[in-house]
Amino acid sequence: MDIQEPAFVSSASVAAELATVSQIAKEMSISVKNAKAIANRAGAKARGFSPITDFIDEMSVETMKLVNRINAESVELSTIAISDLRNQESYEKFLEVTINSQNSKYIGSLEASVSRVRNRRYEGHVKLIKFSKMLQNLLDDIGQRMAVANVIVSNSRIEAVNAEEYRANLESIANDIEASCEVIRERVKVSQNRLVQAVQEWKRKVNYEIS
Amino acid sequence: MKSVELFDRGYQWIVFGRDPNKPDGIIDTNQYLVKTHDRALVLDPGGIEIFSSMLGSLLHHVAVEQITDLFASHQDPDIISSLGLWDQALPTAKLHSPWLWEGFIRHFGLNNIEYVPIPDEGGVINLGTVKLNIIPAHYLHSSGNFHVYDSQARILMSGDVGAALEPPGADMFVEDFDSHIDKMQMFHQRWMPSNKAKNDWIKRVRQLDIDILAPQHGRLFKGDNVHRFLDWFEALEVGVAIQD
Repeated sequence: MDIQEPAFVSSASVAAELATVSQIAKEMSISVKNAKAIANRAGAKARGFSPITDFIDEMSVETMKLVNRINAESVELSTIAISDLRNQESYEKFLEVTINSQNSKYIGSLEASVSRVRNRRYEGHVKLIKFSKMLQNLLDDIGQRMAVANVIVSNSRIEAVNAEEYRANLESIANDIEASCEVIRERVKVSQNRLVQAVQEWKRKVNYEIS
Repeated sequence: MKSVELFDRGYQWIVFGRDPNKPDGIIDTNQYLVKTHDRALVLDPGGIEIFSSMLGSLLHHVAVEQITDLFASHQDPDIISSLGLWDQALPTAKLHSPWLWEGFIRHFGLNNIEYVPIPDEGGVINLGTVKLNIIPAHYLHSSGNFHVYDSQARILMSGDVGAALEPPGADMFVEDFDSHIDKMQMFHQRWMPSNKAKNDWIKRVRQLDIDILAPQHGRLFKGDNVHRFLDWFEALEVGVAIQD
C-alpha cells in the first residue's frame, strides 16, 4: 500500500534534496573553471569555447544562490506545516471533547476555541499553498536553467571538435557538465513532486474546511 | 474521568483522575482545579494523551474562558506535555511554573499563554479572592519543583510527593496507611534523589496546617494520614539507585 508522506515531511525533504543540488552545482563550477583553463591553453583552437564556459560558470553560481534561497524558504515552509499539524491536533482534540462531552454544563464555551483554531488552520493552509507555489516557481527556474545549460553544452561539443589535441579533455568536461545538469534536473523534479503532493494535501484540507 | 470535590466554601477544589479512557502504558495522574466565582486554576493539567478527557471533565465545572491560570509543578510530560493544546484553548491564560524549566517547557508549544516564572523561593498565585502559596519542593523529584498550599482549604497539592503506583480504578483516598506503603515506597526511593532535600521539605511542610495532602499520582491523604505520611517519608532513605 502506498503510504502518503505527511506534508511537513515533504516540505522538509525539499531542503534535503536540494543540498545535493548545491553540491553538484559547486562541482559543475569547478569543471567549468577547468574547461576555461584548457580553452585558454588551446588559444585560437578553442576560441568559441570561452564564452560558453563563462556562461555555464555564471549559471552554476546563480544556481547555488537559488538553491540557498529555496533551502531557507523550504525550512520556513516546514515550520508552517508543523504549526499546521499542531493546529490540526488541537482541532481534532476539541472536536473529540465536543462530541464526547455533550452533556457538560459548559460545553458551549469551547465553541470560541474551536472556531479560532478552525480559522487558524484555514489561514495556515492558504499560506502554505501560496508559499509552495512560490517555491515551485523557484524550482522551475532551476529546471529551465539546466535545460538551457544542456543546449549550451551541445554547442560546446561542436566547439571542442576544433580544439585538436585539447578536444578529448574538453569533451570529457562537457560530458561531466551534462551529467551534472541531468542530476540537478532529477533532484529538482523530485522536490517538485514532493511539493505537489504537499500542496494537494493542503488543498484537500482547504476544500474540506470550506465545505 | 472521575472527579471528586475536595473543598467547597465560597470556592472549590476538585480532583480529576482514574480516567477509564486513558491509553494503556501511561501512568495515571491526578489533576486539580481551584475554582472561584470568576476564575479557575488547573494544577498539573497532564499529558497530551489525557487532554480531551481532562478538558471534557473540566467543562462540567467551569467555562473555558474562566480558566485563567495553569500551574505546572515541574517539567515532566505527564505534568504539562498537553501545553500546546491548552495554548490553543486558553490563549489569554498564564502558566505558573519554575523559572528553571521555562526554556524546556516552551518546547511543548507556547505561543499564546504567558509563562510566569516562579522564583526558587516560591511565591503566590493570586486568583483575586483566593491566594495560594507556592511552596518550594526542589529535588522532589525535579531540580526545579514547587507545590501549592491553600491555607484556607488546608490542602497541599504535593506533586510527586505522596505519589503511589496502583492498578486502574483505585480509590481516591488512602484508607489503610500501612497497606498503602507498598504502593509508594519504590516510587519515593527511586524518583526522589536527595535525603537532604526531602528533610528540608518535611521541615517546611510540618509548619503548615494540612487537612489533605494531594499528590499527582495515586490516592490522597486526609487527616491523620497526612502526618503518618510525613513521619514515614522522613524515615525513608531515598536516592537508592546509587550504592555506597
